[in-house]
Amino acid sequence: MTLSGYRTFLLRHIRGVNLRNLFKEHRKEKITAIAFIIVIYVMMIGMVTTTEDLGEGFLLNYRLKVPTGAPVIERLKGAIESAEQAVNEGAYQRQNYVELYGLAQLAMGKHAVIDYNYGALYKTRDGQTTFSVQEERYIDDAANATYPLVNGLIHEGVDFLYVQLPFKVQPAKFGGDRELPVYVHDYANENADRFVETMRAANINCYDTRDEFFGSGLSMKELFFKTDHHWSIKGAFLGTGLIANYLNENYDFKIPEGLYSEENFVMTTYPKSFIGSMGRRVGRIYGGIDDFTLYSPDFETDITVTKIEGVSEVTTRGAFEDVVLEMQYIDDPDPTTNRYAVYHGDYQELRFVNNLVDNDNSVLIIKDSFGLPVYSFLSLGIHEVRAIDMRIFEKNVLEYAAEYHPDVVILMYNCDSYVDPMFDFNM
Amino acid sequence: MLFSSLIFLVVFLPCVLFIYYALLRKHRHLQNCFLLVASLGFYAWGEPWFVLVMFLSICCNYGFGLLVDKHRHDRKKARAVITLSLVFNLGIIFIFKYLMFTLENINALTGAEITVPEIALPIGISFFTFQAISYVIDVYREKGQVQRNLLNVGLYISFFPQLIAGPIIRYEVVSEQIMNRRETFDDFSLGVCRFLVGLAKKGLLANAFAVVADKAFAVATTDYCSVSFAWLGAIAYTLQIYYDFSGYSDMAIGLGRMFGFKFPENFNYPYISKSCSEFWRRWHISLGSWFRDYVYISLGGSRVGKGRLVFNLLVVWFLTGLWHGANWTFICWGLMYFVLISIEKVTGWEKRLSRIDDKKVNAIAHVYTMFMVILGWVFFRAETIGDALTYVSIMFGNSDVAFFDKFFIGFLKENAVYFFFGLLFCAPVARKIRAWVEDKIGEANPLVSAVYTVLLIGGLLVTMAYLIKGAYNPFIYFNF
Repeated sequence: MTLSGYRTFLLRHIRGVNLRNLFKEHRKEKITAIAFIIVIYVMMIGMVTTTEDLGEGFLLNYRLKVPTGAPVIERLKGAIESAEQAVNEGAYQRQNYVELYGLAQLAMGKHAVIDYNYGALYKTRDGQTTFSVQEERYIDDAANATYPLVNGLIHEGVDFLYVQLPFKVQPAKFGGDRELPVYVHDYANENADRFVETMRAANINCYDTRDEFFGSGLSMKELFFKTDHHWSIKGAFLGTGLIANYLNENYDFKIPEGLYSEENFVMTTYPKSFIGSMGRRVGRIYGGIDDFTLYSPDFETDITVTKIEGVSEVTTRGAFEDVVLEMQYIDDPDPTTNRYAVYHGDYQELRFVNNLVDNDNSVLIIKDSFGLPVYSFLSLGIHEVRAIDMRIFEKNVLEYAAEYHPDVVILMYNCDSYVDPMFDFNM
Repeated sequence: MLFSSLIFLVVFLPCVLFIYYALLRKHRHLQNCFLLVASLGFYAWGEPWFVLVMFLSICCNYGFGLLVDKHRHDRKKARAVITLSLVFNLGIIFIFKYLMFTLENINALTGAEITVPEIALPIGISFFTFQAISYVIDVYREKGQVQRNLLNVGLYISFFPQLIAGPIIRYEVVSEQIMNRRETFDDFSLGVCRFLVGLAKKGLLANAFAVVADKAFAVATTDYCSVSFAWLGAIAYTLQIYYDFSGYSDMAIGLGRMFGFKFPENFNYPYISKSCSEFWRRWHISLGSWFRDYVYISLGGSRVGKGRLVFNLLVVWFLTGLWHGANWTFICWGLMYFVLISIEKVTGWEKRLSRIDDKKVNAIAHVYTMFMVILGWVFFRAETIGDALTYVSIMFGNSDVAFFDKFFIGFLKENAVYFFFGLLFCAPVARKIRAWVEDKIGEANPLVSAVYTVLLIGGLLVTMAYLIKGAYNPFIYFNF
């Protein structure tokens, strides 16, 4: 329609309406009403026209909520909940609203941000965003599940080591009890203390990295991402060095001394490029944005990586940068991309064989997401590293370890992993 | 479906407005049919099965209305119809809301082992059932024309703005408006603004206080709670329930006005009251007036001897407490007001107060009223009488608790802005600011319009941000 056509259309529809009289009374209310109408219709039309998978989102939610053969009423309720969820997830300009939310929290000086679907997120005194472990975990179940695995491994002649990784809230002796809002008590480190104590009481080898990690002299800003719940690559690198030293000292490993020194690595920093899991929930305005520093070896490498997912097995061989690093997570310009996954993650089983290192050491690492950079870095100093994640690994771990027969099986978790299915070893 | 939900704001409301105004503009009957369908859909969205209960209520009360109109000149028959309608409507509430409570108490008192069925409570049943009762009685009292069209009765009972959380709209108020209302841009705009104020009250203020109140009541009964945190939690709940309930009423009144209906006010700054009697003339006005007109006056009202007056008050306040939920805590809460209001009436407290023009006396009266109101809300919020008494004992410093603790400091610091504005707007401050601005600068000044629009639309956007974020959005009317 041409401009004059629009004018004719409008005049035809408001003929007889004197605009001056129309806004003579209650002008501000009428302007507000027009603005309101514009907002809700823009939201509706925007959602319908720009959200490509609104219907798919609904169906996915529906299939997750409603089991097959459910009664009619349950299907109806499931459909209603799924529709509400799809509308929420497909809200027009959703990320901008998340930023607005963050702005409102920042303006009010809030250190606690309640996300009904996720729980509370807190801003620490260092300006980092984290969640908190709000309850004591029943670590006895985790310990009891570990004993049969350990006993079985002993029987098979395979050593076992539990490695306690840190959490984003420091232990109280390092000031962790003052990081969060005063009324928040974080139980992560207490849960870890109890688990390590339980393991040691059962004569199971444990290496608690937290003291050396937090006592390293590096600040929390260096050790952990501001906007993600994971440790930074610098922090993971430090942790790997500690574990490597421990393996050399206690398991007679032959990892090259001083391998995990920054002199041997190239650090490439991508400034203001990463908004992690916490940051995505609170927005960039509130949570900020991280630099992402990639560590890659400054020496020759030749590694064979095998990625196993069900019956699919893909093997590649080459330099660390080519086969271990998944650079698409770095190259994607979207800062909300999970850059942390550059160090390989979410495979049922990963196998790294270092074709150049001068030892025949082997490890099986049962890990959580904190382990991603660790096993990638360890592959630079250990002949064979395998990594599995109990959330997706489906085989019997004891049988698997018996067949692989590594020098040591390392169970390596951060302080918030004492939950199902992390200790379900499919035995 | 809730008003403070994204699906209502960006799907339901735009669609309903479009169809109502763009497609059905010149057809009042079709508009009413459409609003009825939309209202039933609105209710069914949250209660797929219980919409049938509402449908049954609509059909039966339509029939009762016709019967009572037919037999209005035969007093005996008319009373029989009214009795039947009361039995039916109150029977519905009893079965869904009070049967389990009654059986549990019979078992507890007598040692019987009657099986207590698990019955879900249809949301809003107390509201729409009272409206249905109002319809039949107002038809009988000739305060409204009987509706020969079932759909119009349905619309009155189930109209979505006031369906879930009131206000309880008496039939006499809307009987003419069902067919003879006139939608104007002025009313629509005023309705929108009222809706936005209510949305901000609920989405921004009430939900924030809910976080504090829920934590205080949780730690008081399971862990350790200081005196100050107990008070903070009680005050937070006092503010939560006011902003939640009055916010919802604002949204209901605003939405009604968008469709040409004018509903009466339901809250009038209750926290500035100087007596409990005054509090109940300002709090949930539609409920108070419903009980006054249909129960209190029917029992004789105030024009009786003191003994009968006290009895009438006892009945009304017992029922008021019971209406709020099937729990002894609500009954206790209602009876607390019975005691206080009876004392006020018998001693003539209000009349004496109105004769004294002394700021100190008024301040004391205000503090007394708010003190009792806050204590009452503790009973209202608590799960059991025991929990309420535990909480109150902490508030008054039992031997084991400290005065301050980290919860009080932390939550006060975190929510200082909310408490500031929450307490400020309990009084008609916004109204006075607006009147002052319009007086000094002039309502026609573009700056006034701009600031007003920015504030309300800004509030809308921030509230939507909270909804999209999945921020805490509790629904506190599940007992009603």
